[in-house]
Amino acid sequence: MSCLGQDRTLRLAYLRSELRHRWWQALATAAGLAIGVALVITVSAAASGTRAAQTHALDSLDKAASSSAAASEIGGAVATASGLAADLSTWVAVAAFTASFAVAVLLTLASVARRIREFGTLKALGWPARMITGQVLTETATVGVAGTLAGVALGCLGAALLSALGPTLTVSVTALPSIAPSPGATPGAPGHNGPIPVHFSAPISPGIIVLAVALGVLGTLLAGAVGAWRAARLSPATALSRVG
Amino acid sequence: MYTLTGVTRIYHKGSETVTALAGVDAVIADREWLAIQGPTGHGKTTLLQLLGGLDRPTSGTILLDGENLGTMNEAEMARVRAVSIGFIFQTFNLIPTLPAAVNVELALAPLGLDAADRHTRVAQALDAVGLTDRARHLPAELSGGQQQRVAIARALVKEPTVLLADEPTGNLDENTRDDIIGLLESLWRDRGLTLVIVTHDSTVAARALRIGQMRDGRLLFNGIAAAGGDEHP
Repeated sequence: MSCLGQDRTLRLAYLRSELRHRWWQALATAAGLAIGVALVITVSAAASGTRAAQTHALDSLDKAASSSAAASEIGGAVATASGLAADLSTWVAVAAFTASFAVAVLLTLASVARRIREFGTLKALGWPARMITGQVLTETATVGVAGTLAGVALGCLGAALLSALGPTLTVSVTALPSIAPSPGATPGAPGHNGPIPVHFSAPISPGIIVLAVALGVLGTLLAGAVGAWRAARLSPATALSRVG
Repeated sequence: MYTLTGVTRIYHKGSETVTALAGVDAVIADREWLAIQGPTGHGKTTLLQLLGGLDRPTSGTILLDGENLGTMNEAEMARVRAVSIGFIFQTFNLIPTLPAAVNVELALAPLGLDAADRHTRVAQALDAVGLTDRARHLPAELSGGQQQRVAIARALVKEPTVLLADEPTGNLDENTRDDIIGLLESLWRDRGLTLVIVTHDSTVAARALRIGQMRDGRLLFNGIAAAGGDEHP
């Protein structure tokens, strides 16, 4: 029977050649996945930053407010606005990844469809279905891992840019009569009712990176598995009869 | 080598039923060179695909050295194709992204040979078709005749017992056609192959030991369908 280890060099040569000659297809697939992964990381970091700003603002307001009722009123309003922003960020991240994953799947399936005759030829040469499946999965996984890693790098860059370029937010509580002014108090200190600076940053948690990598790799493998299944299940005669 | 008994192949396309083979009986002997001719759509390629284990008959039996191709599972069929059968196609079917040597080497991938053995065999196969100096060329960098030579090297590198060719000269000019048929003839003779060629070209068919005609899904020899598959001389 076939010995996978002994034909590894041949199959790696096949992989290298495919990627070199179909680089634009591989690049399009990897770029689609990279954008999705980068958006997941960046948007999640932005959501974390929003939550951190909320916490900071609430702490400052707690100190500034002269009554617990006022602090609770202000805190509730800030928390609601911040919660909405975080929810929106989550949905944007999910939508971005779903869209990029769909693009990656469609490009993978289109690539397999274009190569049906090639797979038919391999079957005529005696390649069993599992070898063809392995070849397609290896190609897809290589592109997917490259796209995912690029996406992680892009996502980290995006989050760093948000932190560097993000505006310093201010919180003012002058409209609330229950907060008594305290002349000479410093911003954020008890009794102060002027603008409270809240610097926005977009921190990246390791958990988000792990999640993004897992989504990228699993998504890629799923796309590859669907493509490989389509390539492997065709009868050789049908595959060879495809024009192209 | 091959014994075909009552082989039919029926396709269903929506509500339409197409009978590509309508009961083929034949014996193809070891080391025979059989040419199959006939009009387009009368079952030539379908018959070749069944002989090569690329498809299964709807009914009937196809015995290759006593083994029924029609009842094998896909893995067993793949094994037979990997070991015993070489294919040559009209459009060469080389993988465009791979150099000639790697295209040839792909035929050895299912056999589990080590790299040194594979490379030796590939070099010998390319030498046999006169293309040693084109090993690193991509198919697009080769002429039609050279591409078909690479395809022949790919078919023969595993040292099969059967060579099946579907219009192997259909895309070539006359001079190249004669070169390719001359090459196939010498390989057939030197290696003791069983060679089955589907061709529209009577010049090519005339070189064979025997000519069969496909008509309406039946294989005829001298205008007569074989009975029991025993009319090979």
